[in-house]
Amino acid sequence: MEISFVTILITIFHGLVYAMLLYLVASGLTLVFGMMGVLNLAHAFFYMLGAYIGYSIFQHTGSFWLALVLAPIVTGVLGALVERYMLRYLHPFGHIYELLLTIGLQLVILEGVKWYWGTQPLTAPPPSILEGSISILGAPYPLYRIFILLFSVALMVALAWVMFKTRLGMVVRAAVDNPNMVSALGINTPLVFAGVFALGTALAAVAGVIAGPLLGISPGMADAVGFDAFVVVVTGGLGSLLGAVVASLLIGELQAFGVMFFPRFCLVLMFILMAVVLSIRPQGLFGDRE
Amino acid sequence: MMKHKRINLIVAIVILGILVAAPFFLDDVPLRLLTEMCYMALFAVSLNVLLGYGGMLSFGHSAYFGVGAYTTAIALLHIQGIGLISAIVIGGLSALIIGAFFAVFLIRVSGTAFAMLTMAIMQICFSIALKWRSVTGGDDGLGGFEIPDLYIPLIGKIDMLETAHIYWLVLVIVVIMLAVTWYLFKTPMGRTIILLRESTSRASFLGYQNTMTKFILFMYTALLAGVAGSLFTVFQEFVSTGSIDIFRSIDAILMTVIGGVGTFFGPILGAIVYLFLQDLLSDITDRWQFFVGLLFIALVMWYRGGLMGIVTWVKNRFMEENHLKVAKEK
Repeated sequence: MEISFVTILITIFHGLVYAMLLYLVASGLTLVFGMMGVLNLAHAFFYMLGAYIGYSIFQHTGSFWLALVLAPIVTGVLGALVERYMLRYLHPFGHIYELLLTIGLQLVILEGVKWYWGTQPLTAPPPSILEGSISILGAPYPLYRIFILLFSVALMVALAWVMFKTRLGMVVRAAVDNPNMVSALGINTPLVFAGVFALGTALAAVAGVIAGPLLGISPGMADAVGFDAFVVVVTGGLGSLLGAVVASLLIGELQAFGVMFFPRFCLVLMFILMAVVLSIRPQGLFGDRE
Repeated sequence: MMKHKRINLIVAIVILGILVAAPFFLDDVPLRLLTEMCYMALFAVSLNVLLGYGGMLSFGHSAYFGVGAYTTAIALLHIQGIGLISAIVIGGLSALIIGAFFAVFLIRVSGTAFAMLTMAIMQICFSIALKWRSVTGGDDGLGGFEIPDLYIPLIGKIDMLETAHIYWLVLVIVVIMLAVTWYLFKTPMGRTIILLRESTSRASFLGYQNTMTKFILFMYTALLAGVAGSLFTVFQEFVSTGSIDIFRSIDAILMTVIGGVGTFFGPILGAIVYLFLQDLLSDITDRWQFFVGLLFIALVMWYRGGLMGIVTWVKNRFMEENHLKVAKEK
């Protein structure tokens, strides 16, 4: 295979696009863990659920944009319900039962999706305005991938702005550091918890809806992204948004280049990276606690 | 108290007797299900040793199961004239060695990091099984090996062509491994593991070497899981990535929680109920796991004692009533 500069550039772009999708999934995961100490193993399944709900909305209304708005809202509400009625109740029993609950959720969401939508992969076309491609140094590049890139970056900037520039973000960051202290200051932390959990699942659903036309919609999509997102969150540091950005870029590019140049070792390499980080620095690259 | 022990002993002997005699009154299909229950029960117990007694949730248990399964398959395929027991021992021991290797990393972390690290380890093993095609067969799996006859001194040669013979072999090995595990938690070593779950810092204040205890614990559960994997290979005469992927780990977690975390017989009961439900429900609907998931969530939410909790409750009720009767008669 001839490796030209353009090939490498295209691969870098592919990696960036996937990295941004990963970031959308991983940011929710890392925020929820930072705040509640719950590693939501069902998180990637909310991503899948978002994709499927988006698909149905698209089927009924024919509007991709409506799906992009509504599917995350529906998924976010489901996430809030899970937090309010299940996780909050289980919290006093320790983290093992919370992990076990999310395993159960995984199973129920996966099987529910297979039941309702079937096991066959579904395809959703990208909106007509985003069809076609633009040229990068003479090589055609799909416009839809560029859209994913720009849209995700915009969401990332918006999230960063909310988290670091607004009062709400201040409360959330404080609750990540010390939930008890924040609730002692008279802030309704349970509400904040439910809100962040809903936001996390909604972001995952956004990723699901925009990933649909790119990667296809199938029951297997949760596993593929789920493991990558775990690697991202663990490597970047549980609870750290900056870590999630850096690790997403790392894993995204590793995946893109790995698939092209060393497909046999790519998968192993990723988990070896995760295992090394976990055993040497369990708090992750940017995390400040275990 | 003595009376209870005697009742328990009688119940145990009766159950064992029924299990040994099962091939005489069961057809081939239910017997195969029972064999599967046996090795999966061993696998679930292995997970529970870590989760219930050690207080550590492992997602990576299928790694040890898979290593046992693959090693036995590879040994049967490539070593000429290998005995059946040797193949199973090789499977178990290789899982133990892999367990010892990963234990070096696992003893450093606890809590969620532990769960994540076990998941990473499982994925490493899974990826190797998937990609190292020349050894593991990749997606296609490994098959085409023959299960050698079993030689037992004084009895002679037993072929492994009949389900009943494989069933007896699996049953004997599983019962021995379970008995050893049962005994382990009666010894000071076993009690130290439970102490670790209750309070790691107290254990080290008392002068126990937590690192060593954990190390032995990890190797022991890996051995149990590896033997379960070997028996899986012997029974299925085929091994694929399905024996090492995350779903096998999750199966064991489901079985353990359904049966009752931290009780000795819970995971065994869980394995039986889970596989029975699978057999029963998968005829009715493809989506049987949906209902298993609902049952699992319900148990985690409202009844963390699992099915064994119900059994204990019924037993206590029954025993108490007996006590009352005895008291009244006096």
